[in-house]
Parts: sequence; structure tokens; C-alpha cells
Amino acid sequence: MTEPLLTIDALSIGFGAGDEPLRAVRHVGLDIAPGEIVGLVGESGSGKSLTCRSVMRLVPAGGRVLEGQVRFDGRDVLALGDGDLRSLRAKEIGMIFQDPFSSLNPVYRIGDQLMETLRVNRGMGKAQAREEAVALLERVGIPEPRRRLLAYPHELSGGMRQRVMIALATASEPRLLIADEPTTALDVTTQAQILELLLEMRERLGMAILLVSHDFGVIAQVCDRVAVMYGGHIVETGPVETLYRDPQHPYTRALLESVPELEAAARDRSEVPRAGIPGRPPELGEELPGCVFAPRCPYARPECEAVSMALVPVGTAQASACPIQPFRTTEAVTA
Amino acid sequence: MSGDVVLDVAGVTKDFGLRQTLTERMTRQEKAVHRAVDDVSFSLRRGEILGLAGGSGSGKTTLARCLIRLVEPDAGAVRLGDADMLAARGGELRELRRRMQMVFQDPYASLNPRMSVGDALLEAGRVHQRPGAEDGDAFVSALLERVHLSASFAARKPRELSGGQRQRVAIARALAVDPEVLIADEAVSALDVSVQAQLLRLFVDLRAELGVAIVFVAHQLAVIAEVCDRVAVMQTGRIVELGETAAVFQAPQHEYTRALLAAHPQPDPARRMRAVAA
Repeated sequence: MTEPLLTIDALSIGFGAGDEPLRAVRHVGLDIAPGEIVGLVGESGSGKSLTCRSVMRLVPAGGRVLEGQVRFDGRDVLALGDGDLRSLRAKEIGMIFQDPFSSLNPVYRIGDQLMETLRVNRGMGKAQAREEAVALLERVGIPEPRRRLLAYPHELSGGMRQRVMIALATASEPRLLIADEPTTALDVTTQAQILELLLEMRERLGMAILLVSHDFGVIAQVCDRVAVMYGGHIVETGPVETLYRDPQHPYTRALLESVPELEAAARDRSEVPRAGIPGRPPELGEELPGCVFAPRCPYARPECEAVSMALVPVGTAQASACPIQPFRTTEAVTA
Repeated sequence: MSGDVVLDVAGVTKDFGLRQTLTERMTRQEKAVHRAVDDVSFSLRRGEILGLAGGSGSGKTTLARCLIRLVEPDAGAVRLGDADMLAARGGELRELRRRMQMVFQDPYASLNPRMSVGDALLEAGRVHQRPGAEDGDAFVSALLERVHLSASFAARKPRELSGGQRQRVAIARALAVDPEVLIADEAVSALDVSVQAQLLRLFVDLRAELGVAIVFVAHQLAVIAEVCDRVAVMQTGRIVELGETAAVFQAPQHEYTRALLAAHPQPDPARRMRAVAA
């Protein structure tokens, strides 16, 4: 197996000073290989955004890494000095967010923002930067790129703005792109185009992608592997196909069963629709003994209070934080 | 069938004037208009859930607002039962709005943050002089029970509730005045799927228990597939396709409906849209 490009190891993130910070991310571990697309899926408050932000050292004020490591290409990201951190953010890891409008400067033209990035990060001269900016816009599928250089962010549609963000984030041909809910604010048709573009960029640049989304549909469209987060923990990881077909953790199963589907249109209208998950997720800082999902889990037993939430391998590529393995069939064991 | 119709919408049209540049104003050019809703007609039967689908800017929210006159339509007719919604004024309009209630996407913005849940529900009942509203506690706990919240929620403030609980309270407040029609404008769009599924089931239950008809605005086609009997697909202000949900989703007639369905991200990785593109 190739050396991972990114390794997150036993990472915990908490809020509040003092000895007892409120824990939002708990002992999270995740590897991403070069060129791999890994999805981080979970509901609001599960800790997925915080986890991915920690890779860029962008944990918001008030939050801090309590323990654990983030290693990118062998370097300890959490220990980098200011200069090295700048260069990591500028050249090696790109990031795009849900709302491209708030990440673009509204008073500068698109072209100026792209050219600034290229001149600072790649040391290009003005003319060369302009040509490269045109090429970048072309690469992300923006029509008439030369004219678009003169546009301000507000003159572009949401989808076009997200394309510009992708052009900016990939201007230095980073080896990892972190995409935090990149299509959540977009229409489905635009979303499909942006996801397609991400796949294309991976193929063209060999770039790895960490895609964060609350929407399993989005994850399923592009990811090779997926990690499911709940209550600050990764509860299951695996290749997206096996995880979808054969989820091992009760939360993953409940989450997948909650996803609305087009096929439901054919259902008899007098039938009862899908149930969702009863109860509520744990609140920030809420300490539960054992498994964090147990209070909502239909398979919970007394032993669940002693569960450590460590991932236990299931088969060759999957791992689940549920040692009880209520869905494990004999075939799955031998497979 | 026509006797069953609770809401009849015919030819509703709404234009918004676009902002003019200074030169345009100085040269007194005619104001450019954007037709947000363009000659829309449909009818809603008692106890029916009708989905309004479409991308952003397709006019679905403006149409929903026109029905209840949060936005005044420029043309067309909206009839609630025998009453003319667009001609009503004053007390008459207030009574019609009681019969047709709206639930919005963001319950945090539509609930008064300083009012307890119980007070908010009771106020709605009292303003419209609903029977039972004299006995505050019983009125409030019956409403909370209807949206599957315990009576203890009456004392809470909106900030103490989760997103799903707030949306239940917003629905309870709409139900406080015994409406015949609910307009749910992206009412489940901001919720996580596990909570979204609970709310969708609640809408279906309310229809069964109360016979309330629902106009269900949603940009997510799968959400519409889960609960709606019929669906109207909107594009640039027009309904381009309207029919039974199962029929429209299985055999879409309009190109735009097909495009929307094709772009829907399927949770099954075996059915990636990439397969189509490649």
C-alpha cells in the first residue's frame, strides 16, 4: 500500500479553556492516499467540519487541538512554524467552502484575485499570471475566461463562483483539496457539474480530495472511501460501495435509511414513510458512557456502556466502532 | 372531483421590476421586468399533498407567497373554498389567512425568540378566537402532542430547541388556528436527514388525521417523492409539468424534469451519474 498523503491520528478538538474543555472531535483517525477521494459524512454538529479544518490549522477561535497528530507528507502540520504553514496552505493543500461568496473578495475582480495568487504563490510575472489565470478559468469550465477575468464575484452565479473558488484553490496544483460542503448552496444541476469537475481535477492533477458533506448522495457520487461521523467520533469507515451495501455500524444503517429517495415516488401513498432516527444527537461536551449512539440505537444492550468507540476491522477494508456487530452475518465474516 | 377542491389557482402572475442604472432612469427607459411567476394554474384537493419543485429562481417560493398574499400577484385568481383570496380585505383577509397557514424554512426566524413556545401557540389561538383557547394549558398541550412534542416544551424558548423541534413548534402554531391548507416553504430543507424523515412523516400523519391539504415547496426531488401525491415542476416562473408523483418521476415528459431527475445525487454508489457522462 502506498504511503498516505495525509494522516490524522487520534485527533481530539475541544472548546473552552481549562482542564475540562468541551470535546467536539474525539480521537479521530483518518488516512488519505495520494489521488484518493475520501468522504466525511455526518449530520450537523458531528465534528466533520472541525476535523477537516484542523488539517489546515483553521480550527475557529475558542477551539483547540487537545491531542493527536495531523501529518501531511511526513510533516507534523500542528507543529509547523508560520512560514511553513503559509507555504503549506498556499501550495500544497487547497480548500473550498460552502459559500464561495464569502471566500472571494467582493471588491476585487476575479482576474486580479487569481493573478495575485499566482504571482505570490507561484512567483509568476504579470503577463504570465494573466495567461495562467485564463487557463485556470478554462480548466474549471468557465466560458469566455478572458472576459470573466474582469468580472466581480457578485456578477457571477453561485455555480460560477464555486468554479472560480476551485480555480483559486487549485491554482498551485495542490496535492490535497479539502472541500467542505462545496455544493450545499447550489442547485442539483449545478451540483452535478461541480462534482463532475472535482472528479476531472483529480484525474488531471492526481490530487487527493477530502470531501465533507451531510448528504450521502453527494459522497456516493464521487468518493472512493467514506468515513461516517457521529457525536465527534468516526463510527465507520470503508469503501463507499461496501459501506452503502453492507453498513456495519447501526448509525450508518440508520443514516442511510433516513436518506430520501426518488424511488419513494412509486410507493403506495397510504404506506407509512421512513422513520428517521428517534431522539437527538449528543450535545457539545455531553459525556456519555461507552457508545455515543447507544441512547438512539435500536440494537443497544447493557454492554454498550463499556464500548470504547475504537474502530474494529470488519472484513478487509471496512471498520466499525460497534463491537457488538448486530448485522454481521456468517457470509460477511468469511468474505 | 371539483367539489373536493380547497384551493384553486388560475393564471397567477407576478412581475418584479429590475433595478435600473442611473442612465436608464435619466433617459426614462421603460423598467425591465422579471416575470417571477408566469400564468400558473393548479388546484389542490382536500387532504392532498402537492409538491412544488424546481431549481433556485424557478419561482416556487414567490408562487407560495402569492397564494397567501405575502406577495401581491399582478394577475390571476386564488380561491380558497368559495372565497376570493385576492379580493379580500381587512378582517376577511385575516380570516382567509387563518384558513391557509404557512410554515417557513427557518423556524428560528419565524418564532419570537422572547416568547415561550406555549405563549406563541396560545397567542395564535387567541388572536383567531379558536375554540379551546380559553383554557391555555390544555390548548397548548393538545397542539404539542399533535406534533409529537411533550407538554413540557410549552415553557421553553426557541433557542432551547433543536432545529427539528423548532420546526415542529412552527407547524403546531400553524395548526393552532385549524387551517384547511398548509403551505410548507422548504420546511424540511435545512434539517439533517434523520430529523427530516421524522418531519416528513409528521406532515403525512397530519394530512391523515386532520385532512389538511399541503402545498409542499422543496428543491429536493427525493423529499417530494417521499410525501407528495402530485408534483408540479417549475422552471422560470412556469409550471412545466404537473402530475401524479409516481408518473412524473417514472416517465418525466418535460426536458427540465428529466434534467433535474438526472442530476439528483443517488445514495447508491453503483448509480453514479458519471456513468451517464462517460
